[in-house]
Amino acid sequence: MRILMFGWEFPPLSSGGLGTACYGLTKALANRGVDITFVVPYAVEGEAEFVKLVSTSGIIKVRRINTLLKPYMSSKSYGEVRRKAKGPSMYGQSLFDEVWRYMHAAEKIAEEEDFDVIHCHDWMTFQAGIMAKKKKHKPLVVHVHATEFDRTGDTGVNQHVYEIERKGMHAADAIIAVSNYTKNKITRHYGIAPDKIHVVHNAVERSEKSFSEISALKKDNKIVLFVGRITLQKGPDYFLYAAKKVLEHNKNVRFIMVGSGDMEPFIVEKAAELGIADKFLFAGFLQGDELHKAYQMADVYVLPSVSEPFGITPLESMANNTPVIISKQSGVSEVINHCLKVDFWDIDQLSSKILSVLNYKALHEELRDNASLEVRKLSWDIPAQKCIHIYNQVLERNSIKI
Amino acid sequence: MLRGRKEGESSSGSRVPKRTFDYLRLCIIYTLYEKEKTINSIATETGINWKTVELHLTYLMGRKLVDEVHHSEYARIFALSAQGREFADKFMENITKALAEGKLDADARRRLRI
Repeated sequence: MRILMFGWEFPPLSSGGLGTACYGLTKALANRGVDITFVVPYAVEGEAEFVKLVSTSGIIKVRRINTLLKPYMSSKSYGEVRRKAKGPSMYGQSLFDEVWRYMHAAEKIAEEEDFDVIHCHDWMTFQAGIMAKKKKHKPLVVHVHATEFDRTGDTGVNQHVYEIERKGMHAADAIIAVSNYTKNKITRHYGIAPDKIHVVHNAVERSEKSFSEISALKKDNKIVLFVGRITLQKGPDYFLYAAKKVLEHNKNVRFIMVGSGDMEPFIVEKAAELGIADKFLFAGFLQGDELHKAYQMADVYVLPSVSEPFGITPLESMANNTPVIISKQSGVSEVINHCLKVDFWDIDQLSSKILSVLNYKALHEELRDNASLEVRKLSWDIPAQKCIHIYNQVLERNSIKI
Repeated sequence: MLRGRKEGESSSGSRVPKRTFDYLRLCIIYTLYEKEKTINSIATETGINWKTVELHLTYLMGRKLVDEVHHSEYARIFALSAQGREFADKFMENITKALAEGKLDADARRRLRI
């Protein structure tokens, strides 16, 4: 089976969970004998290049399109990137022009490539997928990792993005949602019949690396970790307010925030205003070994997201033997049990749970040991099998139509 | 360590007496003597059924020998109270003394598995 996949990011050039998810899924699909051509929008000089990545029995090819698009971009941030870019004449005037340009470049790739199914990851690639479907009359599967409602926290939805998402979902032969939470959002906001949506939960690659070195910070302090973009969707402000409450009871706690985003200046200023800036460490964007080190260093990981379609980071934390506290408004809460769950807005509960994990060794050990066992069951092979089943379903339906 | 074992089951294959409530409670008290624990940890370490541990903990809390130090949807943590620690120390002292003086008959030793 040959799949033409359109994505936003692919490691090592990735900025969030989408890249991690695409990598894990494509690797597992390749292990099951699926050939994948992965199209990503990276600003690279010159001609599109081919990179052969993982190959056990299948093949993953990565094709790059020369564009300024980056994952999680807004119209404003696109404007800033474009102003800084050299030779602006070749790039689109706005984010949507750039999506349009990406679509036409993808159309060319679709003409050149031979494939059975088109698989698109998130809204920026949906138009490319629709175009490829029109050109080659192949079934289209759209994979929804996040909706505009998640990214904006249900406020200030960009109508243009919403329209592209809606169009893509209606044009698709099947929709993959990363959780039932996302499936509900799709049926509620986009008018899609539930039977067209398949829930395929994400998974995690187990980390075998262990970093024994103890940071100086950890010697006298407990560490609470936040990993994610510092944006409205991820609830960094709730993390900050909960930190304030935790520090009222235990001064020997340090809070590490890994990631960056538009709310970073606000969080830094607010931390200073609350008088807890010295207890905060802003590590910026981390990946690879540095990120694993951060997980292993922490005593507890917190995911306070306002709306999280899935959330791979708690699984990564569990794989690194660190207990997790997650928002109930997340898809990952559907697949894990050995964690503490809170409503993102309930700062009292959140701070109380952080203190419980830090103070009660028995609770910490119970969460750590059980979560470590639980996360072993969440391999990428399960979502890969489900995806193959969906591909077969749409191919079967497509052949009946012909 | 004191460890619960089902009636009729023993490492040597010989029949062991039915565990009394007192014996199970002693198992729980001595497991908690080391440090505070969840019901799951107590059940795993003593070999006593989870539900049985929970019921005996309720009794021991009523006797003020054990305190519930943390309660959440995920886990409950129990620790020995000062009274419980005193009880455990005194009980062990008495048993040691009785053993040394040969005052503990065979039946009592069998029941306590010592």
